[in-house]
Formats: sequence, C-alpha cells, structure tokens
Amino acid sequence: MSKSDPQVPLTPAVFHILLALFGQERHGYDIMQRVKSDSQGAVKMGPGTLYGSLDRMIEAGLVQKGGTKDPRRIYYKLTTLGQATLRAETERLSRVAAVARRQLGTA
Amino acid sequence: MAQTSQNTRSRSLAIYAFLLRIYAPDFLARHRAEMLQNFEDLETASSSTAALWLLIGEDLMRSLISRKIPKSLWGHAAPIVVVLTVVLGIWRAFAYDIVPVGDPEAVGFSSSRLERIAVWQQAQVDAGAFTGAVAAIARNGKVAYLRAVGFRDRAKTVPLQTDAIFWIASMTKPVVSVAAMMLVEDGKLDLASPVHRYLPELKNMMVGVEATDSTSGQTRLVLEPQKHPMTVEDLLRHTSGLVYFDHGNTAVHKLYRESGLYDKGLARDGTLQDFVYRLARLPLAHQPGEVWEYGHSADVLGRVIEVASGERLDQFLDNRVFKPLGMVDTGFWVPPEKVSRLVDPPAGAAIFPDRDVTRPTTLFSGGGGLVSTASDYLRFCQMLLNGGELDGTRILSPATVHRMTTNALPSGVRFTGEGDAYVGPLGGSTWGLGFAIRSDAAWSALPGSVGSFTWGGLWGTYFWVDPAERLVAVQMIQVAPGRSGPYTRAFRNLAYGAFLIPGQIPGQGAPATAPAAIDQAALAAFEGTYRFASSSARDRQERREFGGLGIEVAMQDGLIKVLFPIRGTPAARAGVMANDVITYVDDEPTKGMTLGQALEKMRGPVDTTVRLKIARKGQDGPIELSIARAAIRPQAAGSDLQVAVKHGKLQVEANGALPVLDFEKGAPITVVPTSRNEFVVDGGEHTRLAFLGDGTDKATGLVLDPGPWEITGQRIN
Repeated sequence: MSKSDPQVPLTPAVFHILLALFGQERHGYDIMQRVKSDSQGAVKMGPGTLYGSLDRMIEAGLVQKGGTKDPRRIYYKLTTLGQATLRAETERLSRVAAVARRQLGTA
Repeated sequence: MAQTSQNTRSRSLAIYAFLLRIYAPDFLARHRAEMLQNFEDLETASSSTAALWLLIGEDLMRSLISRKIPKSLWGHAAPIVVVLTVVLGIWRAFAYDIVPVGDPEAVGFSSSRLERIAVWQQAQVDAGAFTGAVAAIARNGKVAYLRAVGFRDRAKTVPLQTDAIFWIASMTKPVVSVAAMMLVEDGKLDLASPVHRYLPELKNMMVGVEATDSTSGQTRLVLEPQKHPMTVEDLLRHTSGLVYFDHGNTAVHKLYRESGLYDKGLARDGTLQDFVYRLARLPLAHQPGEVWEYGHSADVLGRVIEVASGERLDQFLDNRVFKPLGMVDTGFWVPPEKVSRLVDPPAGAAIFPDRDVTRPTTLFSGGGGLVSTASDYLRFCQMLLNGGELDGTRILSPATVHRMTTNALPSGVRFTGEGDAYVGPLGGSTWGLGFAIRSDAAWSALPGSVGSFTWGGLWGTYFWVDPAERLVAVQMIQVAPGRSGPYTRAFRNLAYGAFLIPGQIPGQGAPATAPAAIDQAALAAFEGTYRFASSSARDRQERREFGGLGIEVAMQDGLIKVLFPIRGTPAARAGVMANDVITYVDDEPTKGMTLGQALEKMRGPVDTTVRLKIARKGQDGPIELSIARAAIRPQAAGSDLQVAVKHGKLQVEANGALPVLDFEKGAPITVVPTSRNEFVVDGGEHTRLAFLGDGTDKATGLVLDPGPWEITGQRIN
C-alpha cells in the first residue's frame, strides 16, 4: 500500500477510530467511548476489534503512538496521512449521503 | 458488598485474560496489557454483567473472524469453537439475568419519578392491600425499572425478590394466542375454519336464548342452532359464545354454574379433552361472531393447539414459546425447587379450590393456567413490541403481531359480560387476537397511546405494551378477584408520570448534547475568513439528473421572493428578475409552502420543464413563464464567511449576501461550539454549516445539507 495517498473507502471501525483521534490523542478505552458516542451507539467496539484495527492502521501509516506520558496506558494519534484519509472518507461519505438523500426525496 | 463486587470483578478479569490467552496466543499479544486495562474500564462503566459479556463475546468473535486465518479447516474452526463454547457458557449464565440499566434517563425516564412506584407500592403493602409487588418496565428494549417491594408470604416474614413467581391467570390467554398464531404461520391452523374441524365434539352446540312466555311472563331457555359455525378466530377474539359462569346472570350462565364446570371441569388431574366435552354439553350464550364476551375461549383454543400440533399444550408452549424466549420460570406448575419463590395466594381468594400450583397438573388451562415472573413476562411483552422477535430469536412475523394487536372485531359487535368495563366503548378499547387494544384517543381514564395493548390476570397481575412509546411494563401482585383495578391504574399512571419530555428519548430524537464549555483560545482558533466553493467532484450523471432554474430565492412574509437570477442560467434567460414573487409552481400555489418545499418543486431533472407564475411590481397581471431546468452551481461558490469572536462569543457573518447559506451581510449569527474541534451553524431551513478544527491552527467549513450540491469552505486568512 502506498503510504502517501489516502485509501478509501474505509471500514466503519477504521473510520470511527480516525474520527475519534481527530485533533486529540486518546488511549484505547477513550477511543471506544468516543466511537460509541460519535456513532450514537450504533458502532460498538470492544478491545479485540479496536486493537485489531489499530494494528492494521499503524501498519498502513494512518495512526502512530502518541506522546502522552501515562504509565498505565498507551495513547494513539493520527498521522498526516490519517488526517488526509479521514477527510477523504468524510468527503466521500457526504457525497454518498447527498446522493442517498436525493434518492430518498429530500433534496 | 464492596468486597463481593471486587471478587466478581477480579474473577471476570481472570476469565477475560484466559480467553485472550487461549484464543489467540500471538494475535494482539503486544496489546494484551492494554486490553485487560480496557476490560476493567468497561466493567466499571457497565451496569449489566450480561451486557458486558455480550459485548466482549461479540468483540472476540468479530476480531477473530476479521483475522485472516490460513491453513486447515481446523485452523478456521478451532479458535471459533473455543470462543463460542466459553463465551456462550458465560453468556448462558447471565442471559436471563435482566438487569436494570444504570441510567433510566437514557431511555427517557426520570429515575426519581420511577422511584415513586416503589414508594407507592410500599404504602399499599403497609395498608394491607397486597403482601408484595414486583414491577418491571422497559423502554427501547432496556429495562429501566425492576424492583420488588414487600413480602412473599401473607405472614410477612420473607422479603419479596424480583424473581418471585406469581399465578398470572388470564395473562395465560395472550401466550396461548401467540402459540395459536405460530401454528397459523406453520400452516397447521386456519383461523377461518370452524372449530369443529379440530374438535368435532363441539359441532352441534346450540345457542341458548332467553324467551319470555307472553301469557305467563316466565322466561325460559330456548335453544337455537348456530347461524354461523364458531371459528378458530372467534376463540381468539372472544366472540365464540363461550362464557364464564361468573361473568353474567343469564340462563346460560346459570347452567354453567350448575354444571360444576369450573371446579370439576378444571380439576388439576383432569384433561383438556374432558373439559371440552363438558363444555360441549352446555349451550353457547351468544351466536358465534356476534357478541364479545370474555370466557372459556382460550381454554378451548389450548385444546385446538394440541390437536393441530399433535403436542400437549404444555410441551408446545415450552418448546415453541418459553424456551426460545428465555422464559425460564413460566409454566403450568411450580416445581419443588422453585416453590420457595412462589408468592402466597391473596386472602379471600380461596373460592377456587384447585389452584394449588405447587402440584403438577394434567390439565393445561389456556385461559388461566400459567405461573410466571415479572422478568419472564416482560420478555414476552418485549417480543411483541419487537414484532415477534427477542434477542435474535423470531417466533412470529411482524405482520402477525400487527394482526393480533389491531382490531379484529367486526363492526356492530356487542360487548356483554363483566369484561365490558375494560373492552368496548366503555373502556376506550377494542379487541384483537388475544389482547385488549386502546382504540379511542379521547378516552382519558388511563394514560397510554392509541394502539397500546394489554391484559391482566384474576389476581391482579397486569401488563401493557405501548408501541408508540416503545414501552413494555408488567406489575405482579396477588389480590382477591375484582380488587386489582385501582392498583393497575395507579401503576400505569406512575409509569407514564415518570416519562421525561415525551418523544425526547436520547438516541431517538434530536441529540441532546449539552454545549461544552470552550475556552477563549479554542474559540479563537476558528477565527478567520472562509471561502466557500461547490465541489467539482460530482460526476456528470448526477448533474444531468438534477437541475434547477438558476435563481436565489428567499422566504419573505410568507412569499417566495427572487433575490436575483444567476447570470447565464435558464431563469436569467427567461427574464426572471430580482424581487419577483413566485406565486405558482406548476399550477400549485406557493402560498403555505415552506421555502424547502418550494425549492423542491422547482428543482428536478435537467431538461424537464417547470411553469412559474410570477407577480412583479408595476405589472398588472401575473407573468407566466415556462423554463427548462439546467444544472446549476449554487452561489455559495466564491462567497465568503467571516468567523470572529465578539464579546466572548463566536459569530458568523457573511461578507455579502450568501443566500444559499441563509446569511446576510450585517446579520451576524452567534454560534455555540459543540466541542473543541467543532461548531455547527443551524442556518434556517435547508442549510447547516459545520466548522471543524483539526487541532493545529486550521479549521475548515462544510455545508451539511446543501441539497443536491456539495459545498465546502476553506479558511483563506
């Protein structure tokens, strides 16, 4: 995978993790809570799903370990590519949503 | 108490650690410590053990499946089997443990007002109305209230627990009705068929009519043949003519009393078949299909189920209803190991000699034989509310549940017997297939939405389901027959009285997030000028499909007014001018339309035609124009918005007119950030703007609902 271009579409888990980390370093449990509130409870993420996705995202260069010092927890943050990918996916989703909205008759 | 929960906690953590070790020795190994920490966090925050383990189980399964396991079939199957076994084992241990949500507010209840239910019940216990009560209320599928108050025994020595077992009597009828409809869905039972197709012994039942002799003035019983044979549907909706001995005083009711039907016919060592034979010797009280009167219909329906399914009613209910729904304490008798949970009969209820539910029975009364708990029956109610399904197990189709819980009575049906206070015009309700249904919006004696459905038991047990409010509720008490009315009504009033503002259920309506307190520095990060442009990323197909006229319009004093035609568009070419008022679109008056509706009328596929009627100042008659739609770029393109902090508040102002965004120069809008990274401008009817900060010093804008276009803004200084 190229490390310079945003690759979309994303899985919901990856998208929500990117969203949760936007502008803010967070640790694992914090990410889960953020995902839950961002998705209004629709996306439930447990530790397995979270770290499975995080591993892949680190490998893809979207996320890296953050700088927050905390002996009990590890923090994560977005890379530049992660930010770009989040924007690209947001754009894509809103275009899709616009198409859907139109087809659902609420132009 | 604290010690106990600490022990439980470390045990759960150990189980989780064990699961992680066996299920993926290498996978996620480097996150192991983090995952255990997260598990502890989750457990602390979770109000229900069952919910926690369901989340964990699902999470393990999902992460396992998403992991690409190579090699053999065993490579695929082994970990899944291990996880399934262990997780399901844990899940099973907690599956039936209905635990109140920690936060009733989350499902639209005021917890302090729910508290009043227990206070009220305690007052009844103190006054001697009943020895104890269990109430359960769930909304949106979450239990908001589950409490026991008072005692299990009349001597008041054993405190009542929420798993107490009650004789639910006529709350058996809805269960048996559901069972019958399952057979209908199986194709094994036909509602329109005469009952005698299944029970030939009922074929020649006569209808008893009271006739008054004109000379002597004496009334006597005259027997008539059935005009229409009693159908299975008549059994489900109590229009069979089968009655109860004590719900009326006609000659037929007297015959019922003299026959000893109730004590001998329903003896626990009898059989349903014998009971039906006894009934067959009595006349019907009404012509089938003509009169609603509460009675033995559901008992006969139970026998029909046995014949149609080939199974005993208790077995059929066990296999098809109770086990699938996890109703673990519901049945026709209380086995010895559960007798300690059975609630004493009420004082003054000894008129039914054969109601000793601690003895096994061979007669399965579909009209009133079951015992159950509040939690079990709540699960049954939730299944109905869910349209026939609970926790992934479907027992009925939504269409069937809808059919059962909407009116099934033919027009012109009469309501007689004691039940007419609850069913029929007096009770603001009608009857479906097994339930009384609130039908009259104006009937105000009890709170509840039209379409809510209910029934209760002889000793005061009561449930209702309010689909409009996503509400199910059960109250279990044991009081003497005929005494329960005030308690069921009070319970309903208390439950609805505990609602937060109706319709504002978090997660269902508008998001109810409180604006976060944002410091000045964070506000300042949004400051700047943003230039908005419509996206060029739309493909041609979309443009061809969607077009407009090329005017910017605004709603002024209820009129659709043209602000200006956009240069080079069909509207400009057709001569539409600023300040024109559009009075008709395609012969439809715009008067009364919202701006959004008018816009929707004018927009449409490219190359289609729209007819406008326009009122113009200085013109006498209306101007009529026919204009072909074309792809239009919105005028937000190239428009600027100024975001600034003024008097400690964030303000958004257009540099010029920005009609698409509903901004006007000189009319700044104050906005409240929803987080450190985001604020949203709710700009009227069809447009909202969001500004997102990315934590550096950049912020970008986005029009959230711009209709057919894509509009984004970038800070330019």
